[in-house]
Amino acid sequence: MTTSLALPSRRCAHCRLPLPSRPYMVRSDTQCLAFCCAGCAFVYRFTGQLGEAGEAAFWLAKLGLGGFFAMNLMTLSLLLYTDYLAPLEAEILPYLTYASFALATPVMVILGGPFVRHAWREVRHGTCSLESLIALGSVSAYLASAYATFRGSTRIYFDTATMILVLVTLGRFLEATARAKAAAGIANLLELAPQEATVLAEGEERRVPAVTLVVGTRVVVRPGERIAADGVVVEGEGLVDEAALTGEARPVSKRPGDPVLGATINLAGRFILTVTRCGEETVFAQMVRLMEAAQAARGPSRLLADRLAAHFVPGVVALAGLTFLYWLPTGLETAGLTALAVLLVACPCPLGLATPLATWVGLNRAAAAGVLVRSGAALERLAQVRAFCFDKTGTLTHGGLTLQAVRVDPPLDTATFLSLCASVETCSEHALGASLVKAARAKGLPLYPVSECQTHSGLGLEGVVTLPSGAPLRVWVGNTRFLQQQGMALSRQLAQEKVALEAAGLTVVLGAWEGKVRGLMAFGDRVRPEAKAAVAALRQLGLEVWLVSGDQTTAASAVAAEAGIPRVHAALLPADKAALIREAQRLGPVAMVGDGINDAPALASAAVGIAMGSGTDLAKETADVSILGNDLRKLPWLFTLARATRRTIRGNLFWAFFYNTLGLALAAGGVLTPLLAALAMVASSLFVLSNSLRLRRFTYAPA
Amino acid sequence: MLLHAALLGLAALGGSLHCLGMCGGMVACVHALCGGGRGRLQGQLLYHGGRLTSYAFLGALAGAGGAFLTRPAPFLHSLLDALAGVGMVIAGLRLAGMLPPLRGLRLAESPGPARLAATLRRGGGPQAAISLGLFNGFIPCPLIAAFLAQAAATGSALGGALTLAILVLGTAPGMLLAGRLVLSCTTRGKALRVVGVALSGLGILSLLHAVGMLPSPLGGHG
Repeated sequence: MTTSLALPSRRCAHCRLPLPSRPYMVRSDTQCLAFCCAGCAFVYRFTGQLGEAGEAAFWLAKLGLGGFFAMNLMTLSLLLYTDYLAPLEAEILPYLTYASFALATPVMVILGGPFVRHAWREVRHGTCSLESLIALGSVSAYLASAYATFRGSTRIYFDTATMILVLVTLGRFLEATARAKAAAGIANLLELAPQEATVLAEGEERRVPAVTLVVGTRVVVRPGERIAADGVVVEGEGLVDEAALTGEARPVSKRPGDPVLGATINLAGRFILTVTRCGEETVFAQMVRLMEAAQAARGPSRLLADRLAAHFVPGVVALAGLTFLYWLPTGLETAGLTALAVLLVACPCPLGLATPLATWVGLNRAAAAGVLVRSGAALERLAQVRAFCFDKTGTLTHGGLTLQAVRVDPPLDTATFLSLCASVETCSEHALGASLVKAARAKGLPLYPVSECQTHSGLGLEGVVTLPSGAPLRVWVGNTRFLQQQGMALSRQLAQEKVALEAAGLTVVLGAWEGKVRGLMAFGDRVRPEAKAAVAALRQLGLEVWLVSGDQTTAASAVAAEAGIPRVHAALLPADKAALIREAQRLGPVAMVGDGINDAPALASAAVGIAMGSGTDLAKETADVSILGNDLRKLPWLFTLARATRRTIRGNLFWAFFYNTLGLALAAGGVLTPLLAALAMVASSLFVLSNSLRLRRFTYAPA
Repeated sequence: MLLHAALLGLAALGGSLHCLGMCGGMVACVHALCGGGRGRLQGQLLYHGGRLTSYAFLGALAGAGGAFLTRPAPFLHSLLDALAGVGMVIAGLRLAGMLPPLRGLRLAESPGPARLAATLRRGGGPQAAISLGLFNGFIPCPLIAAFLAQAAATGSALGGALTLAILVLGTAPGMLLAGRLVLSCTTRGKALRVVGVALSGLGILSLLHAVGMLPSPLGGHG
């Protein structure tokens, strides 16, 4: 996984969780890595690979070794089971049990070790989870069987002991592969702050690493470049897209004296700035800190299976105790073995598989539809959210500026006007120009050859258009100041239109020739066409939908009205957004959908952070879910999938426990045989498998 | 049952050609995983050890399944034999190219094994080869399906495990030599035809046994 400039080693190199005060350090020739725990460091040492891909390889290698022994053991067990039906030769039976013991022991060491250690830690802390139940089940099965082996009995449950471990390891492997897949999709896009900047020193321009900038450095910003640090414009002019940081859709024009922010993009013009804040001081870095704080505060979530196990384990231990006391009069050995039988049958074999398998199928189903979900836990949380909060710019809207309205003075028609203006703009690199040319092409309007093109930075441009008749026509396109300088005035009609359009939050560009302004074009951000349907579908699913925007109230309300969102919170700073989400979550988990750097703290605060495909890298890095492409209708789809996955997990857990609860009754009654234990195992495993695979056929049709 | 054993051996030996077609990629992965020299041999042995384990397990499972069915209802034994026979004849004819191949079993085109091998490769080292071998057993394959049917028909876990073990041991030499064995497509096609015919022969023997004309070669009761 790429480590970014903005997140320097404050997180575990393997799992990306915030580091504790005394991290585990691993030093190699080239680098020094910090890990949050010995486990992460071990996985790294074992695989030499960071992140989820390394983890998947680690579990697979374990699965191979453990599976090899366990499968041979199963083959022997099958021979023993058929013995119930056709007695094997009496003299080979002990060999089979000793061989089973020999095969089961390495499995216990290789696969069981970590669970036992984990369970031991939990016992000391007085808690219990899935791991404890798994350790309890497999270890008691192993002990009961080892005892039987050396007493010359064939009541051995080695297959149960090892199969629990193999299946849970398989579950860990599936989980890791699904996460690795999502992480690979996201990590490739990771590129946060600009890495380089052009510095102006002694009249010369030089490219330097962005980290070397200090306060007072003069930096040259070219069109299309991402600004490297916070500063003040000292020379030149530019049009800066600050949407990622502020949420405001409209590009902001920057002149000498205006402040600019690092990590925003200069769309047009060239200017020189003096750095006022750099490195950790920038607004961007503050945002990263906010996001990290939010992530750390959220903490790990307790999975359904863990919560279930927490209730189940004490009950089973109590039942085993009662069984022991009940059978004690018949002798210590019988009582001990019967109590062990209760413990060993308590843990459903596919328990370790019930959640990961359903999750794995769910995550793969999502990935196939272009939705990358980071973890099964995120999918589980998503199924429980009560509200979706949307960012405005870039999430509900396209984020870029598109042509929204054209007004002309009669008798001129809009087609001719657009055609002429777009022709001039073909020689511009301005973002608005590109948008205009695109709009003209989309309308099928002709573009004429242009000569003598001249760009006036921060104002507009002029050029000579060759009309179809062959006659040349000089056309000016630009802002009001530009055309005033050229001595061309607007008609009263156009001036009124201009005021109205600007009040609606649109950016207005004028077009003029032959000494007069002929018309105007208004550019604005447009609501995504599918936004309304997506919002309606979410509300139909019983979810609240909010708009949470950094933009001004008027702009936000207009978008909310168009998308059908009843509740609007506007003019929020990034920290306010995060606070709002935290506040809202007192009543239940909330999902946040966003794309900008300014959304990152809110994405991290929300139970589930969802980043749109067009989003900034920081947003994707923070989010639990990345939606490739920008189709908002994938949100209700994903939510329904999350619910279906949760239902599947619940079904899996219920039936897994159901079969083993039958086993518990038999065990307490002292009539459990290895064959019955194995049958419970097979029945519950098959159920979990088939139930989970049903998710592959998941479809969702909005009502 | 000399004829039976000979056909089984022939089907297995020739079957390695079929295995190469599907599992050749696996063998190549083992090579890639283990590098050269001793590591490679170790990797190959681990891979085939894994393969033997998972196939024997599946065979035992099929055999035990057969046992559960046939002990209480012996008449089912003939039915199983007949099913196994029909399955083998069909699989044999498919291999020989006289029947169209099954749809949906084009594993070579499925990304699963390749992705698994890629993950393993990151895990590195010969020990990863064992996982590949184990996984191999769970690739759906008509040859294995036919042998599993035969295993079920033996009506005992031991017999089932042995049936599949013979198959793996038979195919191992061919696959061990995979790197050095250069076969043209036509040669492979011809060889596959021989395998197919042998397999169909086995199926016919099984069918004959089903109708009571022959004793079972591997089953504990025949």
